[in-house]
Amino acid sequence: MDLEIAPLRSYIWSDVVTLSKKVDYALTSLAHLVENQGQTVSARQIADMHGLPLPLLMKILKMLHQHGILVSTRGVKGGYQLAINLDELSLGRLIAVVDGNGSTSAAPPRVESPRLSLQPPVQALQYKLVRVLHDVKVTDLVKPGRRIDVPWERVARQDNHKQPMPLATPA
Amino acid sequence: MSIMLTETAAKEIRKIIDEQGKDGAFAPEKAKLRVGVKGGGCSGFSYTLDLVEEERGETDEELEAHGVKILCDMKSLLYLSGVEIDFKDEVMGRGFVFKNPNATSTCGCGSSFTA
Repeated sequence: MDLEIAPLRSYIWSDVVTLSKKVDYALTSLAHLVENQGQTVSARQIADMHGLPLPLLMKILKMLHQHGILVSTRGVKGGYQLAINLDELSLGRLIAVVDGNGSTSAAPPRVESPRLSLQPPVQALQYKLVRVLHDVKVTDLVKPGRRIDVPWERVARQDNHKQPMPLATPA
Repeated sequence: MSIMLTETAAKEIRKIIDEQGKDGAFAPEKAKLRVGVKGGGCSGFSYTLDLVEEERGETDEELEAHGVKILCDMKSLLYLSGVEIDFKDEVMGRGFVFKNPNATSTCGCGSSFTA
């Protein structure tokens, strides 16, 4: 049983579900640019602010620029600004730009298991995961306010009315 | 000073109240939504939403939005004045989202804010 599951698990974990370091840095940079909308921000400023390695960050920002996600300004006060509305950029597209070849189409499944019977379910799973990545917009991840502050379950819990009201703590 | 509830959020709250009312948790007509802030989270404050069956206290403000009665204590109201509470059901999660004009920053994990 383990022999059948292990390749599938490693496939999902390593190739689809976890975000790479490069995607993480790209999201951090985009969040920084959202917070500083209208300003030109250099790679060094982002690297210093968030403790990211400058050489890798410069490569990532260059990729985002090449794919029209950022605009760059040269010169002493040069840097990057957002070129597009992040509502229109899916996480899937960002991953394709940063980790892949820039294509938004899903790569064919790379099933390493020799067991052919695994392929159709893995393809179906990959299709669903790719759809999720394309449904999630980068705005959802980087813009404050686009998040859940109080999960539904916390309000709808059955013993809710019995809980004492937490006291507000002034600054 | 006010707290706004979008129609979507109010509808969800009324739904929860009705469901819990059927289960006998409390009387739907007496249920109120207590909104507040508490210290905690990496940005200093986090929001609280609780369904309660209680009368307005001395330090409470009582409001109403789209048929939902809201209670908020005065201390919390300092941080929540002008806030709009919306309900989101999307891939990022299901729950209530605060658009708070008093928050100067919010944390990445989405559970706290700084005022």
